[in-house]
Amino acid sequence: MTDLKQEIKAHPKETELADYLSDTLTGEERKRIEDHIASCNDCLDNVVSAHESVKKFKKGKAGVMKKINVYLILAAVSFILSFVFQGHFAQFLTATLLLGIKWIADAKSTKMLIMIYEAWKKGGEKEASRILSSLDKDPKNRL
Amino acid sequence: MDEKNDPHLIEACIKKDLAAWSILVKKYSGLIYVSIENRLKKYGLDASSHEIEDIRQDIFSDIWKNDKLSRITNRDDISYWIAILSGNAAVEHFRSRGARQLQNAVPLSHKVDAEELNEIFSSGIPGPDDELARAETEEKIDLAIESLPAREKIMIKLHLIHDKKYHEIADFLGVPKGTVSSYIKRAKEKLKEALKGD
Repeated sequence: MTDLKQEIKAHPKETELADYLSDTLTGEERKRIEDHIASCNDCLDNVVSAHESVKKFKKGKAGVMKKINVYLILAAVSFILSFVFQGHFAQFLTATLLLGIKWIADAKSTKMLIMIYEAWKKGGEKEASRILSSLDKDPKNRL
Repeated sequence: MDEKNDPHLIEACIKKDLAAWSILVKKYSGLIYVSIENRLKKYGLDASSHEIEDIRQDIFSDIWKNDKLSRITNRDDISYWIAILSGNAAVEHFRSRGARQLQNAVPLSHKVDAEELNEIFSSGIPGPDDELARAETEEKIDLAIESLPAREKIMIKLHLIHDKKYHEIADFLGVPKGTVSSYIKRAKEKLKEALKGD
């Protein structure tokens, strides 16, 4: 097994593996990647994992979008009902407001954005050089 | 923001347009999270959400600082590139921290499912009580798998090691299901033959 592992040529670039999955390589390039991933368990793991993740994410995103839109529809329905049942106007309006807030909160990952921008401002340079030095140790991760 | 908008979005991000970056972050945060989690699971690592968020932040920072977007060849859909980059960053995060569990661990997926093996090689696999004989047989299986042609090798690894069904392998490789079925059948015959010889 050791001999076989030593025979494995340099890992393909991350962009090449991505192009393999997107099916945008020429026949020859595709064969080169397939020859590599057939023998390199790390790269096979990587592409299989990425293929699964993209599939899972696209499927999940469709589900999440449906859920988010449900809040918007419910808010609209509640708003209309507040005029229909005027005796419960305040209750329906409160429900509209709560559902609307839920819709906005779910639709925007505001917290995440703020967190990343803060990190860039505070320690971006330091973080980048730390990551760069760790990347330099492993040629596999160079683009 | 659908996939078709990616080339313009990426162009703007390369120019460090913050508004474009906020769209990029929003669009791919979820995918990066799923990719990190998925890759680590293959090593049997269950990272906390806090840790995954740290890695995700490093990934965005890395893409920004090292102008990685400018090196992308296919700008129509960068999902696969993001997923691959995230998977590597996740593994690297644990390696750079000197995580003992990752240095020593063989990815779980590299271990062929014993039940499946017994099914294929009904007479050839020693039980768990005979560890030495079992290790020897597993090494022979490894060698037999490695000697297969590339396509057969990928298919048999996806089937036995990654536990993929025929239609999933067909989807991954972009070939008809029937092709997968015949390749795997042929590969199994070759493996049986290789083991019989010893």
